Amino acid sequence: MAIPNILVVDDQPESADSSIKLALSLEDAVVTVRHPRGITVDDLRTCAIVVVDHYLEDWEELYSQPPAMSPRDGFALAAVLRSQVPAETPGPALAILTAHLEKLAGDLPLQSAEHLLAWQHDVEWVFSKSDPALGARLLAMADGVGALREMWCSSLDLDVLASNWLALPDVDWKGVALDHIFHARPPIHAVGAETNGTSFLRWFLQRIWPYPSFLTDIHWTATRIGVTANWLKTELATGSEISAYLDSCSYTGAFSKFGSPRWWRAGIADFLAEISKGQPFSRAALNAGLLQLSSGEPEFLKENDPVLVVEPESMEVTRVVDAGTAIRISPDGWPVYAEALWATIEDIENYPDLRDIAQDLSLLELESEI
Amino acid sequence: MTSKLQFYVFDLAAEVSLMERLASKFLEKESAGILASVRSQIEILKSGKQQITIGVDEGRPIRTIACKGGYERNKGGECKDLYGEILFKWELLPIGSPIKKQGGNRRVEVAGIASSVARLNVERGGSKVTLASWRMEFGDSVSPGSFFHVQIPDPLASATVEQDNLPLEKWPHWLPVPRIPIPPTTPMLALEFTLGEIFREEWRAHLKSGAPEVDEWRSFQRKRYSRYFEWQRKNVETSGIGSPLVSIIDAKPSSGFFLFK
Repeated sequence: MAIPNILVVDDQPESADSSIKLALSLEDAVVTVRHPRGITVDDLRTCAIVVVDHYLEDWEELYSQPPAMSPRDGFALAAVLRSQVPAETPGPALAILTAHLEKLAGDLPLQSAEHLLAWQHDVEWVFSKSDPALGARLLAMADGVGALREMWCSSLDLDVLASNWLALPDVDWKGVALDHIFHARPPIHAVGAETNGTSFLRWFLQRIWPYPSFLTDIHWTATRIGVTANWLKTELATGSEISAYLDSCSYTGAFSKFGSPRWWRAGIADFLAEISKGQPFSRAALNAGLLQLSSGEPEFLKENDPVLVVEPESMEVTRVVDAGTAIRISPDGWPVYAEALWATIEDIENYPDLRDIAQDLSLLELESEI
Repeated sequence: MTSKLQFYVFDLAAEVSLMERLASKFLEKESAGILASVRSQIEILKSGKQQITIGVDEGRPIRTIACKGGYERNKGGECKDLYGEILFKWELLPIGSPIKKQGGNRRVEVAGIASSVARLNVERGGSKVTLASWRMEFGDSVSPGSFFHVQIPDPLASATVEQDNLPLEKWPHWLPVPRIPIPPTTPMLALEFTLGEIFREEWRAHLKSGAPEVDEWRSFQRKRYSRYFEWQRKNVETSGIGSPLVSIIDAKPSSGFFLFK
């Protein structure tokens, strides 16, 4: 794959130059830093991503312009730049870089602020300058955009897209995985064609990557298997039969290095059927299979009906409880095709914000009446 | 001799998916996750190479909320905390090769047990007490009795006894009769039947709500029931056996009975 071009737009190009280049190895990408007044259409045409600084203060001439000609922050400038990309060209991904993610997030949970802010403001992603993985994530984004450009056409087939861009392997569970992708409504037809793939890119980044849908992270994967995430992390490094199988269904497609590892949900389901000898509903059969294939005794989840719950303050999703002590919730933007998210009844009683998004409060009320 | 009854994986998954939406307000909140897990088990049939048993067991049944006396008119039943429970076990064998394309369907055949159990329970003294139970099953081409039948009570709900001893207790394990003919009852239909029994008015009101899943459910199940009753009507009219009842009981469906275009 060609070395990607990354365009950095900053009102203080000198400082941006050093911070971005610190994050990125020079061999990995060609980084061009421009003041907003120096951007050309050619820059936009050739770069994979445009990273726009959120605060734009050193741009004196802007303040003498009428409102419609003076974008006041990076989000507004990104919108202007998007409109300048020639219609026939797959556009670059537009991202915002900020040193104040927490402030920008406002009431949004910091855990989800990057993609929720991007969703709100019509850009692909919002990065924090203090993110230690900033360089790797920018590269993953640039590579993903580059790969999409190479294959994007107006009549893209889901199978082709999944086999190449998503690197879905040609395995027995491929059809199930394709069904999962299809149910998540990828915009690859009329809308995708109209936007030259930008809407598809945004769908993947904002509607798939952050949520447990056809790809799941270590916590959702471990819970489905019925073991603790910590144990599974350790087990994956042992080279055991379990780690080998899970390797075969790990996600290696575009953006796979954008964050923590992901696994194909269809692959995990197939794994559970295999190790339980065709009885995936039986906890006993599953546990016996896990015991046989693991490097040591697995840390089985103690919960009879394990579900992942959200932490009320941080909105992190790492804790497992029994479904009997929790209620499903629907945070803003949580996709209907994603796995159900839960919160503990105790947290719902103590946090009005969680109560507002609880799905099954009526059940609780019914129970208390009896 | 008839071959084994077949289903499309897509139909099995769609039925569970519809019931997840249709019945959510009548089920304990844990049951949503259980139904999602059943759907996931069914999906495996599309890629599976071996016989797969789908189901929910004793440890994690599908549970309704308490019916508040809803089994009688105007919630007039005296037992307010009665609730329903569904367990099932279906042994299914995928036919042909795994399907590797999106939207591709695959047939599976009932390779063994296809049984759904409904129970009506209350909790007393910290323990579950089963007050009523029944087992809805599909037979096979050589099984005695009606192919689609219900056994009352669920024989496994009684204490297991040694068959050789043949103890003279009520509903012994060794006596699988009566096998009362019923329309074909999948696990989701077993759940619907139970909901309709213990939430008599609420369930019917819900079905009139105009929710999209209600329309889909009706359309989905209507073709099955239509085919069943048409089939049994023909069995009654064309059978040479002297008794229409025996004709109904002895009829065995073809393998494609549940395969719709």
